Amino acid sequence: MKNIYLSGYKTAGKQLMYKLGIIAVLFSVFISSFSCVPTSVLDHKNSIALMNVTRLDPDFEAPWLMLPPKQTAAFAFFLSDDTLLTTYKFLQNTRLVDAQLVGESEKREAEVSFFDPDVGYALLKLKEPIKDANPYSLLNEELSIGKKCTGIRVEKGDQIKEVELTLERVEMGEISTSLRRVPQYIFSGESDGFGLNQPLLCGSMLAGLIVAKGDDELTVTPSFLMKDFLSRSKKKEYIGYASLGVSTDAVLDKNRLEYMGIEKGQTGLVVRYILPDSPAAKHLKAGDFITDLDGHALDEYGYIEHKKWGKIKFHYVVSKKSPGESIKVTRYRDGKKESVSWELDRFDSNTGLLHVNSKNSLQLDHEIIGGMIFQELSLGYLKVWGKNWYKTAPLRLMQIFSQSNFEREKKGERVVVLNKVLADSVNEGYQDLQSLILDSVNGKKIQSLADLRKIIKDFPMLVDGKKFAKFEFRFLEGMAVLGYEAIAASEKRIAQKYL
Amino acid sequence: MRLFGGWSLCIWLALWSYSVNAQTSNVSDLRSSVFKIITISASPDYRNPWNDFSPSQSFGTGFYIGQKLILTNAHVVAEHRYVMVQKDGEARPVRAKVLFQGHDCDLAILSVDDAAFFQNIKPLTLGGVPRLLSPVQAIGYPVGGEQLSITDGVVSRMGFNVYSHDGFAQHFLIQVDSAINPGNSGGPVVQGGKVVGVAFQGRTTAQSTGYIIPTPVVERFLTDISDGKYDGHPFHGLSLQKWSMTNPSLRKFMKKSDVQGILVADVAEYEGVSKVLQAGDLITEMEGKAIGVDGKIEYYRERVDFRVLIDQKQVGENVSMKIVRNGKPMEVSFKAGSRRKHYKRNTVYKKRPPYAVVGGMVFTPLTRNLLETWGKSWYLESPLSLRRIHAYYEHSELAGRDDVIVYVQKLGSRINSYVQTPKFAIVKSVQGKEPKSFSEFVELTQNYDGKFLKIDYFFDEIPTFLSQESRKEAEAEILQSFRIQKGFVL
Repeated sequence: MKNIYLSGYKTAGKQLMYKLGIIAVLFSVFISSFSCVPTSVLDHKNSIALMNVTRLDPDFEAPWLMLPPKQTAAFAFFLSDDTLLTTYKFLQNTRLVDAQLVGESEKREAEVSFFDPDVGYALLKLKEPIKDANPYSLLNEELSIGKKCTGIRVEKGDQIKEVELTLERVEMGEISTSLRRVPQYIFSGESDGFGLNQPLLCGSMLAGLIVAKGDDELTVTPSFLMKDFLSRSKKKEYIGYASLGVSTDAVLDKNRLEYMGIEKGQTGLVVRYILPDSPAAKHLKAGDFITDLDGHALDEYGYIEHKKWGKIKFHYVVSKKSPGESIKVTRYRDGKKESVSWELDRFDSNTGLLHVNSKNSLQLDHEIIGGMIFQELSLGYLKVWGKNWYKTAPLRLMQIFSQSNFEREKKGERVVVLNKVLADSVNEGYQDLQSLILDSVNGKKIQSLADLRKIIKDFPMLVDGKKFAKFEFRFLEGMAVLGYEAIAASEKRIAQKYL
Repeated sequence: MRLFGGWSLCIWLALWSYSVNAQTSNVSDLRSSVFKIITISASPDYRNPWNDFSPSQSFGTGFYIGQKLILTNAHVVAEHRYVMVQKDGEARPVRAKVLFQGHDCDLAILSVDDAAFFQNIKPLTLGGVPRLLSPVQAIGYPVGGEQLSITDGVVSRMGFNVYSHDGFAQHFLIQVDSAINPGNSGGPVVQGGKVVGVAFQGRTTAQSTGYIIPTPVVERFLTDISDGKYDGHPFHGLSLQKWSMTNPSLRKFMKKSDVQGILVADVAEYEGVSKVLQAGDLITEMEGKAIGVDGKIEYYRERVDFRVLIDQKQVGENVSMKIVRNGKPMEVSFKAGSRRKHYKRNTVYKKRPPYAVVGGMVFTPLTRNLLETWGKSWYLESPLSLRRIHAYYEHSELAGRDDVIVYVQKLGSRINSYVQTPKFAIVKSVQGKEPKSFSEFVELTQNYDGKFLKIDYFFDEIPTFLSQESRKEAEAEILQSFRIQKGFVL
């Protein structure tokens, strides 16, 4: 500690006092330069709220049942006296939501008024507006690497700590409720103690919500994305986001470039799959080499240059587009370079054979015929096999899963699965059948639950004047036959026993 | 209870003790016909197929069946480099040679050149099938001991099950509650002085449980090799659907009132069967035996899967059965065929597995052996694409191909440093031509002279582009630095 000599004060006692005074001032400055300084609760009281949620998730194993209610909670921020914005993931299958302001115990009734799983945001509306909501202003600009912002850490309901965080990088990440990719900020700093959706402020403006944490790292969903979502949601018709419909591979093989007749030094990606029925399918096919998107050059891994972030994956270009907007692509085919463009379709996570996410419905769509439970194959059903479902789920289901989501004959084509059989005299002999893929009924191919219902209704098989349904399964699993009379007679019994 | 009087009682006791002694002395007589088998074997490394793992020694048992032939298990002498046989009580083992190996039923025949070896040795005779709960004795050289040992047991179950040495084929099998230890493998299991089975498997999950190969399977094997060539068990090719006929709707639909017969779920595309049977057929009777809804028939006083009747035939023998198709009863027959050419699901025992090193990239046909390199839980740990082809080959994109060709690894070299193809990709075509077999694949990769050799893979995996410029020199370099004798083995 340097000795600070003060002129004009000759007495040792006074000198000592002033020295101590300076030390105290310096010390408090020193302390306040640390990240964690408790600030007043009132600074954020009417800006954010803790949303307490009761979820009723469907039981994929027993689709007529729900799983026991789950309680979960995450933060949301006020847009006005009665509207809040938050992430959608924790709000799936919500039955009850209430809002709790920071520092208060009162629970205010709310409901989900709008959401889009393909961007991962939801709007909530309070039954009764609060007085003096103090909404943050949303920062519209994209932050630069190295920018310092403040994470607002709310602890134990009313303790707020401000934590300094630095923007390290920006990545195109997959939202957990969709297959779509959006930009996500990765901030570094003390990550312990942050709860879901606590705000990140830059100055006094909201820069994002903290959605995940790692080792001294936090993933933040950016405010410019939220602002974009809000403006889309305000329009008369909600049009959602655009889909490119193209899956690509990086090209690191120099021989491959030469084989394709691409000049040395030219970088880009090779098209692996094109979504059938998509607008992209008219202009691109597997094997095409694409070098830029809307004028942004692609490097060999698919990164484009970004003024503030250095580089970002090309999905960034698509993430800003709306359905109906066009995109321009430079492609090489058989050595020839050409520029193509088309109007983009709407993004749909459920466009493949497998359901990825479902609408907020109380019950999973299923059909019980003679105790045999049929439902469409979904990611949720595969996850019934636990954490290691990728290894332990039956191979015949994984066979379908691993066929690219892009491989289907037409939009809306699904795979119908016989989940299991509820034992009853009508299904004696079939009670061991489970997780089988239904191929056809009465000789007609089944490509959706709707198909199954239609065939049963309109195309029974007749033997000796009686109606029958013949179910044929894929992958060496045989068949089952049920008589219509027997099915009808069993409905009440089965409902009483199981449903 | 009044017996016939004092003298009768004595005679009765004397006879009884004689028979007990006879049993024990019978077994002692048999000792000299049961040998210890010592095998030095080396297994190939299926990920580096030009290499073997280090040789190891293992022990088993075999027994004399006459005509200078010794019967044992195929797994006792599998992948052998040197086999020796040692008689009970003798000081030194004698060199033996392997004459026949039936890997699908885990039986093998050995012999010894020295004729003196078989002097004064009595052959063991094959008996019938023992009754359930009857006592048997296993004679062998269990691991952990130098001497012959006799273990008592009781017949506990009979069935139609997979033999683990093959890993896929099912045959008639008897379970005994007797500790069958690895060293016992290949040894005789006797009852009343006759062989009623060949000990061959223990069970890791249950103590004192062992499995024996019943005499009908042994006899089928011996008949098969009598012409000097082992043809193997025929493949039934049938996937069945159990219990269905208990369903009243199905019975009405098939216009069959009795609860009997088994539905065919699937028929493997293979000579014979697929021409006469189809999915949805109801098989009701075979060789005079009615088939139950569980697919079983009465077989040696027990209930066993009816496919045992097909499995027990010789290749080329006639098989006939009664079926019901679309409500009409019919009789069908076909010639029992051996395993079809296409992808086989059983473990193989080849001295040198086929492989090809193309530009430093190692390709090999998919086998159960390759999948087993992922360890005991290979059916969970091995790559999904390989697992599902192994399970559903006939219903996959590869149906019809004889071999499923897998890219296993890359031996680093300048010629392949940019190759992006992921490991374990499955070959679809070479220069646009689809190889039906591994040898065709090798030919396509060896006889091409364009600038780049292009290999495409299933599931749209990134293709391989190999520059042909100085490919021969690069390949020679690779073979030398990785100490691989041959660039390819078919």
